[in-house]
Amino acid sequence: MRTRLKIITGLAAAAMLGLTGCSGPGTGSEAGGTSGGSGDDGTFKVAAFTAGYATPGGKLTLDKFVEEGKAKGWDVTLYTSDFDYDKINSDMQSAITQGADVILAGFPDPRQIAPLVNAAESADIPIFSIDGGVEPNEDFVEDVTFDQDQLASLTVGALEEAMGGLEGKDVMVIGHDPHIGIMTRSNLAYDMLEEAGAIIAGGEMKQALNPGTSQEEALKFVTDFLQANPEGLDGVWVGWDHAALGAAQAINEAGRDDIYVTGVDALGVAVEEIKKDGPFYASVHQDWFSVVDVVVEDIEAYRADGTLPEENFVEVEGELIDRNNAADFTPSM
Amino acid sequence: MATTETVSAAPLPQDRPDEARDERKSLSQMVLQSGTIIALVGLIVIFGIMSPSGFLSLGNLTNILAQVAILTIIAGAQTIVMVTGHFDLSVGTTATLSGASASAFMLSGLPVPVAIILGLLVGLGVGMINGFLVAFLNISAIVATLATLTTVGGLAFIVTDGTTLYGMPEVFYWVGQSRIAGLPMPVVIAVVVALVIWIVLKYTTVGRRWYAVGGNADVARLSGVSVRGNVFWAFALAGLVSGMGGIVLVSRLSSASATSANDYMMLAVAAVFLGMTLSNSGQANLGGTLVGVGIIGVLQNGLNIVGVNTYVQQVLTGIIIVAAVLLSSFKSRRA
Repeated sequence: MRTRLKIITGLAAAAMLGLTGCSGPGTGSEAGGTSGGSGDDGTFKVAAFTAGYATPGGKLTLDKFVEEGKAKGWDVTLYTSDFDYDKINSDMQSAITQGADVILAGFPDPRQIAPLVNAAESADIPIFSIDGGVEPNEDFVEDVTFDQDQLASLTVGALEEAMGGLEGKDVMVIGHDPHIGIMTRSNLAYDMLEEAGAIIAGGEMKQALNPGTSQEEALKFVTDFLQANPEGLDGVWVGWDHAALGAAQAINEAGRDDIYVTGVDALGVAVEEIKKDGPFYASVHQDWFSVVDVVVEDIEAYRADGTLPEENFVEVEGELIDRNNAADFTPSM
Repeated sequence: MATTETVSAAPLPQDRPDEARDERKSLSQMVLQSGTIIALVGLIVIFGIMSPSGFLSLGNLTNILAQVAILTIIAGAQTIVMVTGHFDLSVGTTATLSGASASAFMLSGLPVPVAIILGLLVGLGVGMINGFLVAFLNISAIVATLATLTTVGGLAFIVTDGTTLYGMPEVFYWVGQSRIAGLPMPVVIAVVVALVIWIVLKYTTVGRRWYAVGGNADVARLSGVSVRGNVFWAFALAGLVSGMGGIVLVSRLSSASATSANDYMMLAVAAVFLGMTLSNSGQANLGGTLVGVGIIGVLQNGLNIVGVNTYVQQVLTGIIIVAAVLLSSFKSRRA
C-alpha cells in the first residue's frame, strides 16, 4: 500500500513537472486556426522554426509571427530549440512529411539547415526567412534581414562620437561567432575600427561563449582587462545588448566615467542604462515587427495565388538609440 | 641461541625496505592528495610571473573573490549532495529559476524580503522534488536531476517570458552590489554560506550521517541511519542554497534572464571533483571544494588578464578537470 502510494505520488510529481515543462513556450508548439486554403485538407499549414527562441529577439519575433499567422487563418506550428539544429532539422523534416505548405525560418543559421532545405526542395515547399544571413541565399524564396553593415556603422559611429574620435583609441570588441548576425556585424565593426586607427584591446576580438550568460562573461572580460590595463581602454563595442550591459557594469564598478559602450538590440534594460548618461552610450533598435509584417504579407500572397516575392533578399535598416532619443523610445523587448 | 640471534637480527634489514616503501608511498600519497593545492599555487605563480602588476594586486584578489562568490555558493550546494554519494545536475537551472522568480515577485509589487523568501522557497521546492525522486522513488540521481534540469529550465523561460527582467527595487541591489569593509557583498554571503555548510558537514549529526550515507549506504542503514530521509534533505538543502546563489546573481547583474546561472552547474561539479582529491576518503568536502573554486576562479581570471582566447580557456578548464579526476583515481587505486 505504502509502495503504491509512493508510486502514485511520484507519477503525479513527474506529470506535474512534465506538464509545466511542456507548457513552456521554449519547448512546445502552437497550432493556429484552420481557415484558408492551399493545403490538401483545406488548411494552409505553416511550419515555423527558430533555434533562437531563448533570446528575447527570437521569442518576440516568432510569437508575433504566430499571432499574425493565426489572424490570417493559417495553421501555424512553431518548432523551437536552444540552438540545437539537429532537433530543428528533424522537426522540420517531420513537418514537411505531415503536409506543411510553407516554412518560415526564424533567425536560422544557413550553414546548419541543409537537411531541412533538401527536404523542402524535394517536396517543393518554399522557405521564407527572417534574418537568415547576410547575403542572398537561394535556399530561401525570401530573406528579410537587417543590414549588418549599417548596424556596425551606426554603433562604431556612436562610439567614435562618445570617445571623441577613433584614431589611437583602445577599443575592446566582444562578439559571438556561432550567431551569424552577431558574427557578421562584429567582424565589420572590427574592420571599421582598425581602418579608423583604433587599437583593438587585447589584440583580438573577445568571444562570449553563451549569449544567455554573456552579461556576466562581459563583466569579467572588462573587469579583468581593466585590472591589468587600467589606462588601456577607451571604449567597448559589443554585438548585442546583454553583453554590453555587463561591460557597462564593469566600467561603473571600476569607477570610470571615461570609457563608453555600445550594443545592439535596444533592450528595455539597455535603454534605461543609456538614459543614465553613464558608460552605456548607444544601442540600435531593430524593428522586428515590421520585418514580420513584410514576411506575413508575402506568405499571404503566396497562399492566395502562388506568387513568390520578386527579390529573395531584403535588407532593412536599424535605428540608433542614444542619449538624444532614448527618453522618447519605447522598447519592445 | 643461534636461531634466536638469527631471528632477532633478521627483521632489521626487512624493516628498512618496508619503511622506505611506506615513506615513498606516503610521499606519493601526499603529492597526489595535495596535487590540487599545488596546482592552485602553480597557477598563481605562473600568472603572477606573466602579469605581476595586473594579477598579483590587492584589487585583483578582491576581483577574483567577487568573481567566484556565486560559484562558491552553488558549488557548496553541489558538495552537500555529493557528500551523500549523489549528483545534482539541476543546481544551475534551480539558481536561475529562483533568481528569476524572486525578480518576478518583486516586479509584481511584493516587498523585497517576501520576494526573496519566495525565491528561496522555489529553490527549496525544486530540491525537495529532486530528493523525493531520488530517495523515495529510487530514481538514479543523474536521471532525476537531468529531468528536473530540463523542466526547471523551461519554467525559467515561462517566468521570464523569454526576455530579461529588470527594474527591481534599488534596495534589492544591496544584496549583490554593496560592500562591507571593502569586500563585495556576494563574497560576504559566500563566506557565510560556506562556513555554515562546513559546520553542518563537519560538526553536526546530520553532516556525519550524510557522510555515512555517502560512504556506504548499506552500512549506514544497518547502523540505524535513515538513508532516504538524509538523501531527501541533502537535495532539499542543495536546492535552497542554489536558489540563494541565483538570487545573489540576479542582484549582482540587476537583471534576470532565463539562463543566467545555468552554466554554473558544470563549474560547480568541476570544483567539487577537484576538491575530492584533497580528502583521504575521496569524498566530497567543503574545504576541497573551495580550493576547486579557487582554481577555476584563478584560471579564468588569469587567462583573461594574460589575454587568452575564451575558447582556449574552456579547453584548459576541461583538461584540468580531467587531470583532477585522474589524480583522484590514482589516489584511490593506491589507497
